[in-house]
Amino acid sequence: MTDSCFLPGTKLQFALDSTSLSAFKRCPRYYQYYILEGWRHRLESIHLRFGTEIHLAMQGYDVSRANGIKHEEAIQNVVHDLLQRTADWEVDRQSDSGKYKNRTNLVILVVDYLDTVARDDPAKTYIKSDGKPAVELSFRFELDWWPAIGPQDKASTPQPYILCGHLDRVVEFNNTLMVMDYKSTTKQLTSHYFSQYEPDNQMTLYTLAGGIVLDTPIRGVIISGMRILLEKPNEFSRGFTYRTPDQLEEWLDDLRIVTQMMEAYAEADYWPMNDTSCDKYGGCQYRSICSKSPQVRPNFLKAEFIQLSEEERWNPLKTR
Amino acid sequence: MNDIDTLMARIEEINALGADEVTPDDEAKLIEYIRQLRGKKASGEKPSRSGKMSIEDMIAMLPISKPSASAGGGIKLTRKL
Repeated sequence: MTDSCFLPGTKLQFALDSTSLSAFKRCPRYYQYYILEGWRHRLESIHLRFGTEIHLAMQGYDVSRANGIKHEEAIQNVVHDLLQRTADWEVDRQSDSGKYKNRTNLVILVVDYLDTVARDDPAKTYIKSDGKPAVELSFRFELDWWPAIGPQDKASTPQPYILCGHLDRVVEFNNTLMVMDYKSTTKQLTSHYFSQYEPDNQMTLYTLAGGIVLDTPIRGVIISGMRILLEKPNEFSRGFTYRTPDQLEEWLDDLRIVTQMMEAYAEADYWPMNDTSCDKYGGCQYRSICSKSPQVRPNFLKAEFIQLSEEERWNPLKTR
Repeated sequence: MNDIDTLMARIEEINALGADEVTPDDEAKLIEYIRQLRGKKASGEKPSRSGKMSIEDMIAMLPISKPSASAGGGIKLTRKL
């Protein structure tokens, strides 16, 4: 059983990752529903599953190639593993999401990407000092501050905040080390699409984490976009987002303030709505809940969403 | 059914196999079908429609004739500002 990411007896999360920080920065009420209480829309799992399978497929391929396995054998292995993992994955292909994100399109997208992009990728997987390829790197490091609330035993060292996460891959590109992150989408891969990552909580954290994990400067992130198309060939394009050391320092300074806000809300046991975010990010999935009067919201939550058990809820300390 | 439809049908057949039914040969065929599908799409081929007519197809079948100005009965619209 994984350790809790909350301070004992509190709703203050001390182990933070990109997902939980992004949720809180987006809207504290969204954070409450999604992270603290584990409410999930019935269709949300399609996107999460699809994205997870993409990452696993890329990981398998990157590890194979880094170990000297040729493309054809590597792609065969990836397809085998993908089919095995997703054998029981059922999707409603009549739904807007399922039409694009289903097992068949997943396999097609993976093979297309590996053939047309990964096969002769100019971005080479970085080999760490221990000889292992820098793929699916889990990171966990302590910050130099800790919560001001929660159980404070003066005899022992307080629990500092921890930043956690996973980097898909670190690559050498044009003599520069960059993190590579894979994103699957149905949207056009234009400069407008990639502009959403600048500034961006996840990309800044990845740049910071990459440098700490590898103990060498990372310039930023390459976003490897995969666009799912039905009638035309799938499209692939990459965007670059950079972070200067000053930007990384600023993000950490901001994070200190963000954690103080988290402490204040946890102490009050109340997470206010950011009612200017409701129409952002494609429209908040909890909009139909927040638009109701407070007294009836619990009923609508139960009717429209599934609540994950405590063990199933998002926990940055869970290893993949 | 065109080539793309055939390839998609073959891909779906292999995808429908259970985890313990799919063989390395099936996997190799799956990869080949996907590559052929990519080539067909790249050359501009598209899946045929499912057999149901879309609204656009129905409209395209309707004869289009411009109403004659002399036919009378036309409504002249004016707008008063």
